Amino acid sequence: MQSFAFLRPTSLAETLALMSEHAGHCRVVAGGTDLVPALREGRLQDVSVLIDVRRRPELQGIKRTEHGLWLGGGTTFTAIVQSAEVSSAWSLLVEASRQVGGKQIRNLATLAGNVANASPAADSIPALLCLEARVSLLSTRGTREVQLENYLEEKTTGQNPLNELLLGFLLPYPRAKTQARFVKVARRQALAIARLSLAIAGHAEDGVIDWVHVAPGAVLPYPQRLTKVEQFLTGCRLSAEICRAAAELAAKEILAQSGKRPSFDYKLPVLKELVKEMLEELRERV
Amino acid sequence: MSVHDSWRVDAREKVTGQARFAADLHIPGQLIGKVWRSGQTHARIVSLDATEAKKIPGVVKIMLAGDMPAHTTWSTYPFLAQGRVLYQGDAVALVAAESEEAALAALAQMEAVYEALPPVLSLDEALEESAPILHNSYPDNRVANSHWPVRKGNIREGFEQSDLVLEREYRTSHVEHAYIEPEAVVVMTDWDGSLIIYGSTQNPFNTRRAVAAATGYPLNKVRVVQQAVGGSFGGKEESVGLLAGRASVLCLATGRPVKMTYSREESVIESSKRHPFRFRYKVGAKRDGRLMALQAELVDEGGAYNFQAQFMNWRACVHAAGVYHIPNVEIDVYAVHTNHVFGGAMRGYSSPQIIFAQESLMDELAAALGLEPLALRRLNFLREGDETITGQILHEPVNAEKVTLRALDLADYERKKEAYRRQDPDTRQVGGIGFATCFRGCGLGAEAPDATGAILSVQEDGSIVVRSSLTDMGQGLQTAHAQLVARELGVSPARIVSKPVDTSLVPEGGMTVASRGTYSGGKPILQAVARIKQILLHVAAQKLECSAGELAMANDCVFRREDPSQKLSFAEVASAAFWSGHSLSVTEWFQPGPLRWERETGQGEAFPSYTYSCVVAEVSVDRLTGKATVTKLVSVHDAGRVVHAGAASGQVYGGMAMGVGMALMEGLNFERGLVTSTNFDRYLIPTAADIPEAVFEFLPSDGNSGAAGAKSLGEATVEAVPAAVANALAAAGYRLRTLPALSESLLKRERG
Repeated sequence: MQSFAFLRPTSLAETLALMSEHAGHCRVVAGGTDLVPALREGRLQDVSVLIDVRRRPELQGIKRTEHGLWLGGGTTFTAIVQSAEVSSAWSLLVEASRQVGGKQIRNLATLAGNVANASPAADSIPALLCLEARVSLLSTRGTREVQLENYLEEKTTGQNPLNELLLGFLLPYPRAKTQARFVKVARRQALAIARLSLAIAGHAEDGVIDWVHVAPGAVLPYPQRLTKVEQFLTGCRLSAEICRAAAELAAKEILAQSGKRPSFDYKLPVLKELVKEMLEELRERV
Repeated sequence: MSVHDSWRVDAREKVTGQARFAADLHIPGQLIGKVWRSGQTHARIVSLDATEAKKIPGVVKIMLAGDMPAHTTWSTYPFLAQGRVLYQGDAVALVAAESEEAALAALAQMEAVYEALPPVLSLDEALEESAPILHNSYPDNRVANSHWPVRKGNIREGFEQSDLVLEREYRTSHVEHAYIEPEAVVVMTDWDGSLIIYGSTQNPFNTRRAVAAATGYPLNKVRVVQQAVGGSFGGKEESVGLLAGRASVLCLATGRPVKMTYSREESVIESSKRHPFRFRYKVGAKRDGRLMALQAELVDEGGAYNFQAQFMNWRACVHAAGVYHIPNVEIDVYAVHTNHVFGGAMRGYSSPQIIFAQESLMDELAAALGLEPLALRRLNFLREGDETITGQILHEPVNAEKVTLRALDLADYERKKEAYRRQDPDTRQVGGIGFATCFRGCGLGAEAPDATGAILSVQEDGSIVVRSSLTDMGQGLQTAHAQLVARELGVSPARIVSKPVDTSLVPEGGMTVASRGTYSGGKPILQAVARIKQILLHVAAQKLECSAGELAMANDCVFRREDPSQKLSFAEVASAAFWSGHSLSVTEWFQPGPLRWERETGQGEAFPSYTYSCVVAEVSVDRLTGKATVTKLVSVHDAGRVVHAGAASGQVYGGMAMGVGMALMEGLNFERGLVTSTNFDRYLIPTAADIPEAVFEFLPSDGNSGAAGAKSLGEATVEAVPAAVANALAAAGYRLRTLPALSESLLKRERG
């Protein structure tokens, strides 16, 4: 493994100062479960400084606020899985967090790390997208809050020149009677990267969809909601036919964004079935 | 029994982290050795240039094939490749440096020019007429001596007499051993100039041969001392021999101790794999189910180099028809070379692959005949007095049917099978139950003399040292041997220390393979115990003024059977024996009788004894994603008399886990001959969460040839598992003829 400096700042201000001082060749360690393998495999040759924020108290904590649930960026998946607060109204995130890595990984890995790494297969992101998560970012210019979608877009397209630290997440209070589910398809029961995942949240009244969010994982360049599918479904009376049409549309939207990939021979038919099944469930639960 | 068998000789050391593995050793002045590998699938070496690498501070020595002091190869495997490389793991240079960093920096500075040669990327390609020739001595790409035929009866007549003939093809994949400890050795010279190799090795005497080949040293100047081994399963053989040979030449060239450890990636790239097989079976049966004829071609992929297929394929030909009576048989087994990593020994030594194919075939045949899987098997099971396909009359108890009926009973098979048949096929999760029955020839059989040795020495204080010529690699052999000694001498296991193999101390007893460690390895131990016991009883009899025949040994005492109050402690007797001039250190050797084998027809006496096993599997398949899960495994093994129930149960659970991996997820991925799954993020093995509920039972039996009545077990535990899982999947509606049973394949069946 390459050599690097390992810095542990004692405040957020110092963290930001270090980030700007070493801009371009530093990485923030939020948990390290993605970072360390990347270093070991030589995928981060330009990185010579690691800034460890795992013990920053400012990044810890799960609490209800006026606008929703606040989750510090340094919250581990174990903390999320064990949190009664998160389970109370945002259980979709618990479902997804439970399936991150294995127990040892969940003890170390954090929500901010998972999101900032922005892997197309990240387990937490589809759930966070369906929960309409907002991301709180800190830089020398101050704090700003953006929708997770926008954060991911900026991140993966390299549009954001700011050196920002991911402070935490705000999950708005879910709308009444929200139904939500997360499914992960992997080759084994634990310590498995998602081959495919799907989060759906929504609500149907008398079989008619009020609103629905659909976010697949591991099929797009970065996780996003399938807005065309959502628009198509909104206001629709759920039927087997509509579910099927939505599934076809989902596959189409993914193909349009990702292009044809060899793995899609397997993934897209499964994704269509999952979309159908999860929409059917939404119908049945009403 | 199991309650008392919870101790292990190495439990405390392993649990507390005190056990010393080769990588834990640090010799003052040691250099770090590294291997520079070709990274090529098949290429001519145009040039190798170490000029820049040598300039790296801390680099002490760089060696190319031309710098090797003696041989550049060990059997067929190159320490350093010359002229041509045949797979990505081929080493082309060795580096010794003051630090790991310097050694790695040197590797980064090495320059090579290769000219790509046409590769052979599968066993099918190897068999094509126009295939590139990988070894000039074998223009048909067949591995030397790997062809083993079986000819019995008249195959043509057998098929003519059959009412139904079924032909099927099955395949398996490259499976990695995935031992927790990658290969490691430390080499230094002794004061007399001989070499000492501390290593993670399954077969120290073979490692010694490799070092002798690389250095030109005679065997008596090479001393291999086995360290605690973190798993091997047949794997720490070729790769460790090569590693030890390389470290030894670096040690001699630099005059410094050299330590070499492999990263997981290197281990996956260079260590042998379970041979992938392609099976083409043709079976003929009467309408009532009686098997009349079996014709089979079994081809395994040997990879770039191979010295195992010739032995493994012999075992394969013996077991190719399973545990059934078939009058007319024609079987051909052979291996081919490709530009992939070589196949080698892995727990089961071809049997898990074969049983998968042959027991799948039995289920398919049963279905074609409209018979229940059990009914077809019961009609054809080998029984006492029957002749195997290799012409051996079975005189010992044949328990194929017994283990099967017991396992099915334990698994509640009949009831569950019916329940699964009635399940709604449209639900998302569907299940199935299936089984496989097999036998396993114990020990080496006619493959090689199953001879081995041991040294037993009782100290004057009554403590005992056991040294076997065979190794403990985690399976618990030292514990089993200690158990035999403790039981025979009536002493507590706490008195006994079992030492790992040191090639300069124990007689060479062959390889620790073929599940022979207890079955054969226990024999010289028992012989030694008998001799020691005779001496101790003689001495005790003198002291107690009685005849030796009146004495018994138990509870760490020697006492008169008639009057147990007349006794001496074990330590007292040991001390008295020593001070009266008796030898309490005994070297014993077990030499089996010869076994007859005729190569051209594959007829003879294959093995003295057989272990019988049946595994029942239950699976659940997610019809939507194609993901299969094994929900329960039940196994029953007739392994004769189990010596140590704790260690034996460990074998069963471990074998089940390995079998689940092979059945559902394990298979190396290649891209143009290069392995893409070089670590456990991409090469998936089951986690604890993937291991099903497990139930097992040993069916005790007597009348076999094993030490203390123990037959082979270690490999028998894994071998029927993939087959049972495959048959359970078939019962759930998914007959797969290629392993592993990946979601993609299942889904294809669902849609197709």
